[in-house]
Amino acid sequence: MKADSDVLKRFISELEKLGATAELLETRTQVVKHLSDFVREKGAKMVLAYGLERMLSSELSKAITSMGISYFDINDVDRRDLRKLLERADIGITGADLAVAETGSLIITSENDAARLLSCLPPIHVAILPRENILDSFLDLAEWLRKMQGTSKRTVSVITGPSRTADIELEIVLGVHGPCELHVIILGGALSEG
Amino acid sequence: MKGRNLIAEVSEALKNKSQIENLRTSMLCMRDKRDAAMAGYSEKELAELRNIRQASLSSLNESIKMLKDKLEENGCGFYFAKTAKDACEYVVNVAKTRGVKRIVKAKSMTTEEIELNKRLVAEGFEVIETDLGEWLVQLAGQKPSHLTAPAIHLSRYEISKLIEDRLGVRLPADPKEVTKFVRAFLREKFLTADMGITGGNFVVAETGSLVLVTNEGNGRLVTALPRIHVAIVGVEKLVRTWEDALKILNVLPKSATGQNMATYVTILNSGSETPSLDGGFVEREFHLVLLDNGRLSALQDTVMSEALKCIRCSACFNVCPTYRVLGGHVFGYIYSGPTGIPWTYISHGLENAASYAPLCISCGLCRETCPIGIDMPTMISEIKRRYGERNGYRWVDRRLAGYESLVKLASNTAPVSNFLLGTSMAKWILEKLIGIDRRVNLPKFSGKTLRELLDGVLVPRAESDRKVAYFADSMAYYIDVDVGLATVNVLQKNGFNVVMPPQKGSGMPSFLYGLLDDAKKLAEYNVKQMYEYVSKGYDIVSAEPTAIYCLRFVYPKLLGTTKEVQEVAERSYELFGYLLRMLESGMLDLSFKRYNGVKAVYHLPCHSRHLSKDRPVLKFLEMLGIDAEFIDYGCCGMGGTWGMKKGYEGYEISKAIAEPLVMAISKSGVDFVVTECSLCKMQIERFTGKKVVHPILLLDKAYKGLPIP
Repeated sequence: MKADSDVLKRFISELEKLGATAELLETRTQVVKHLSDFVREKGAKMVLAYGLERMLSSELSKAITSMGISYFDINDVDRRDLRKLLERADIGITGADLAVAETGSLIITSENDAARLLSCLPPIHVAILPRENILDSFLDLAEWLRKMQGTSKRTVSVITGPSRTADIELEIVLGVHGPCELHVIILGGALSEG
Repeated sequence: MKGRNLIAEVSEALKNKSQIENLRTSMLCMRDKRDAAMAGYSEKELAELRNIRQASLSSLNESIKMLKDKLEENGCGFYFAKTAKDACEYVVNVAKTRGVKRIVKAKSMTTEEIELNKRLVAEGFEVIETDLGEWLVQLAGQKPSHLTAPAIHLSRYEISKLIEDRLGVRLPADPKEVTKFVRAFLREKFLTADMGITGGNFVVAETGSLVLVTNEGNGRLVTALPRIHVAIVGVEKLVRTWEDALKILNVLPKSATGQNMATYVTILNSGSETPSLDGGFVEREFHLVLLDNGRLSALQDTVMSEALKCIRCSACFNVCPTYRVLGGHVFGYIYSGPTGIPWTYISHGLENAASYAPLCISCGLCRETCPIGIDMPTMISEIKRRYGERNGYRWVDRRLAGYESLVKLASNTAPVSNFLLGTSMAKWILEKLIGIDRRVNLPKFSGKTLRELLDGVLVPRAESDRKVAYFADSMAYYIDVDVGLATVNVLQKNGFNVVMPPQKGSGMPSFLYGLLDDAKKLAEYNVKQMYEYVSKGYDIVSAEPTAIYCLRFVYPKLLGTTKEVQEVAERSYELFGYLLRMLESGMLDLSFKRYNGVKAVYHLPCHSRHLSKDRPVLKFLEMLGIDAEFIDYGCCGMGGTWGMKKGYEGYEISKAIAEPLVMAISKSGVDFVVTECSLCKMQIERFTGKKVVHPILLLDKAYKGLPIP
């Protein structure tokens, strides 16, 4: 299913209302370029990634390390270092399985808690989402969730915007325990496409 | 709470003007955000949610079994805790046998309910709340005062002082700075904790999945970093399928905080492996404690089982007039707010629930705003009844519930009674003898009852098939007789045959004070009389919203839904809703005067909100050319007779509730206020000194071409 432009527009507009950003990109080269610029602008020292397409991860690794910034893919690091890396990462880049347009939500599965912590511990979270995986409505998730709960990727995180609180006098503050910033890269097609 | 002195607590709370102001502003803001987020829900969708909750409860036993099997299949710990003590025991045991030292918690009212922290601390564990509000409350040594905003009672200044006092850290009174500090402060705790404890927003039986909803992200860290995760979930949180779960999940954040979706929803049904401090992965255990603690017996209780449908969104807190001024420490035991009263009954017993149930004034706004439509007023009245039957009812409550005989006496002896009741001596006596605050201006009684005044007016018109049975209720019957006369006149003007069947007062005061046997007797009488006419094709109409609220919603609860009760309920209409229907079907006589340029304020009575979403009075004021400003602070605080009770039992709270409305009316500079409830009228006149009129008086004058005040 290729999300039509209304669904895409709705998703982006909901994300922006939440204080997240969305970027529509077509190719792997564009993603690598965009993310290298992004990590440099953010002044990151270490970037950790999980769940990215193999080729994308290796090209990102090249581009980012060439700027003197550390880049690790969780799948490739020595497990003994994992905890320390997670604690220190400035930016976590993850894939996203699905998204829901009406709520601006990302749905991310994880095989273990390291993958889950990557969208949780670092102050900045970047998620990469294939455009065709945007669902219209939250209620469309039922069948998928039922199926998912029997697989190894059974832990599901639904993420809707950056971490927030309104616990003090109802004033909204972003970035309490989770990421202060959420950026979504939507892969495969611009808004002008039908 | 044994020996709880509610009056002392109320008088203390009412001294804290800045807290009242903060809480009121916050609650109004939450109410408006919530209403905006919920606007897309149709009646049908809301009814479906109610059905889902009902069906989930009906299938609890199967769901429990299904959950147990699923979790055991996934290698998780599953424990069904019959009591709070059992649940605490299980958690302590898990912690002890696994060498736990530090425990981090995500916000959970269920663990508050079982007072888990107290027990864990007594066993020597370090327990740290990680939700920002909950952490502040823990730091202050208090209990949460709101379901979703636990520290809403604290101002930014109090918070910055609290942190300085307890931790020696000076921070500006700025939520951003405080949040930044807490992020760093708690991050270290998360990273070094051995155990995480959460509640759960629901549990999906078909896959054995825990669903945890948070905004801050602490729920994610608590369930991913420590090597043990224990979730403690009330058994009523079980739903059968993902279809059901998603519908509830979809409404929860909208109704709770006005968010389209909460920031984080974590779904898990097994343990996993987490990167360990010493390098590599360590198995993370997952235990689910399903808590009964009174729930399953409440399920068998025909009245209280309704509370189990609660999804804990807290929307009822935002609209509750007394909660709004007193806060959750006074308006609460451990559970607070409107839904907290039946929940206290279920988990902490009758005495504790009855300790603050008198603060409910039965405005019914909680029921009206609840996405599930939970009937909190009936449960609260039933709690008052059960307590009253066991320990006796309060004298003042009995007298106020039996107001009709007093009113009858005063009416029979007017104008002498009016003179006497106006004296300070009489007011002093009423305060001492009955408990009516001496500052209350008692209404002026008409020497003749409405029925006497209508003698010769209610003549049948053979030619018309439009038939109305008029239910006056006590105020129009004995006091505001002009409202009764105008109602009859306007209906007759529109070609109605109007009759006034034999009737008694609606019984709302008896319902309010839990004298449900008395209320039932009144209900039986009124239904019997009204049904006489309904069965002959009459519609029942009243100009008193509370009367129709009783006929439609309260009587079926008191009497059960027999054919008579049901038909009377279905055929009962609040006057302006009824007139609006006529207008819309082109049947209303429009030959009335317009009052262009006249300015007024409109106050919407709580019970009217239940009867129509259309705000019919506002439409009529517009038609009359009146420039009406709708000021909406919710309940005016009168609560029928409740605001007449002396001092801190009623009057003082009632006054505090009315304050913003009174100020807004005073500021508006209008000539008069319009409202269709006779008790709201008393309240607004008492505190603003402005004239308050029932809209039917305006319409009646307009038909007659007369000027209005």
